[in-house]
Amino acid sequence: MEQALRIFHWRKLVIGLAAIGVIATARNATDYMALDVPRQLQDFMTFATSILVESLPFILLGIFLSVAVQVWLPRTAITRWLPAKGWLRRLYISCFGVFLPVCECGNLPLARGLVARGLTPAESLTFLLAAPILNPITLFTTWQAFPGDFKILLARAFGALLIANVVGWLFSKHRRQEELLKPEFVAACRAEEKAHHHERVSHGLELFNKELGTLLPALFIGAIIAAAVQVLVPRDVLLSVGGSTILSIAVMMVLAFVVAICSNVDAFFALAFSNTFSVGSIVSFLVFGPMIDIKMLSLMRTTYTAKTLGLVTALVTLFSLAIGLGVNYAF
Amino acid sequence: MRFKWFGEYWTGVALMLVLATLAAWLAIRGKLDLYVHPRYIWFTVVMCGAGLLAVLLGLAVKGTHQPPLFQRRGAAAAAIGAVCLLLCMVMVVLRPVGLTSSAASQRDANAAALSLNDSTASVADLAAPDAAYQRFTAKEWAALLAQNADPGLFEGKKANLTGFVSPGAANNPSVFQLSRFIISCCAVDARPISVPVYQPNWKAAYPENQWLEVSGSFIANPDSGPPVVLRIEQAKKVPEPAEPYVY
Repeated sequence: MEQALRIFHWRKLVIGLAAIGVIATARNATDYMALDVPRQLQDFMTFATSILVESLPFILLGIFLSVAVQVWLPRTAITRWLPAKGWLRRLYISCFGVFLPVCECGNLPLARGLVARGLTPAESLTFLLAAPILNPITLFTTWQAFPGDFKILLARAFGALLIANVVGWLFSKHRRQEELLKPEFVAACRAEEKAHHHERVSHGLELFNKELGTLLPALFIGAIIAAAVQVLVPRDVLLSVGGSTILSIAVMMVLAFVVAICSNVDAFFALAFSNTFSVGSIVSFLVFGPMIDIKMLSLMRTTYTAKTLGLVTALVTLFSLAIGLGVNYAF
Repeated sequence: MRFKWFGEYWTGVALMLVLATLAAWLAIRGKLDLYVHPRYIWFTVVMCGAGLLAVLLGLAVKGTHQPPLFQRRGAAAAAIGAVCLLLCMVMVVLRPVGLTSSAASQRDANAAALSLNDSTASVADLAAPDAAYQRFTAKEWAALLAQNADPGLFEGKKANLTGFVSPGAANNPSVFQLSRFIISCCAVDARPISVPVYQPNWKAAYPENQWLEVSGSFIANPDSGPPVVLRIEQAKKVPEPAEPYVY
């Protein structure tokens, strides 16, 4: 008991608990205030809160996994099991999602942890693009949503595998891999490498809070932009072009970018459009959405340079478009 | 230009404390499903609890280091931090409510947004001897109306529905939409489902976004607009229900 008392800065703990108490009390008190705000502002707040509350658990899970990888796994524990050949290595990495079935928000902190533990930036991109789709939950829900349509499941899985590996291969050609990353992230990784932490628990807790400082502001900005788009851009304008073969693909990709829905359940959302939109556009939505959306780009910006993200977005857009067209042509 | 402002570390801690506490409060008060599908509630609560515990331990365990509260930061970083904290304050002050008729009007795409797979209702139910349609909710009626425009199928069928008043895309003075939102994951993917209700000069009787409990029968629309409408026999203004969305 005495030892337990000694491991805490009690003043800080009490301040933290008091902060939680003040926030909960303020929320409780204002619950009885009927503030008359414009409906659009009310909807903006509902959308923004919804994105934040839905994403937070996945981000936290990702940070927990990332911290575990950085603090408790030996430095070469992951890389030594991977094949030496680049393409085979990326193929293995694109299947990491099978063991880590979290959606795209949770994969970003984990990708940061994997880079800190020796994965190259190009390999981390392969992981980030593939893992939200090539995981059992996403594949199962896609099958549940389109039970009689095996081609959608196959096109989604192989489309994601193809895009993740081609994008990873293209970026692996960059000679100075570090230049794909934000200098601040590179500096943080180097500082971590040099630091000698004797106590793993306190090191892990410290890393956890540091990652919150990097990722949560990015999540908030992503949520604000996504919510503003939801309120300001009428969705029925987009959906009025459902019948057009090529435009419908572009529209469903724009919708995926704007809605920023979790990859684990996006198939159910896409299902609602299957009556009016082409199969190819549904596949493009299911492939593109988990890789690139407003919220995800904001989160990825914490780690990769704007130039890297611009190129990744352009490549994923082109490949998703091509896959959608291919599916429309074939079926 | 650089400002002395909350450091990145402390901004993250503050955002986490507000957001996780808010999520926990919403869950305790049964309001978290205004934002996420009920299937996520336990996962959200467990992760937010674990996150809050980790943040507090990260602050309080001896051996962890925290940077100073205020640091010199670039204008963009300081502005982002300020915007995030401002959003947190508004989230704490504004009462949580579901999406309004404003969002429904913007997404008035019943036919595109609602598929047969969303509903178990079929046209055969309308003719079933046990009048199975009396158990239909707004989702079932909206799905059937989106797929069948023949007034003969619906005429005389009675329905009891709850939803909010929305003008719909056509803004018809004699027909308003009794709407609900259907969600798959969270409020962002909400799609409106609507049943058209016949009430000449409805704007004088019911304000937009007002929740109503309506009993009535379907008729062929005597005015312009959708071919089949619900004629009101009884309508009662009610507050927003605890579960405003359908799944």
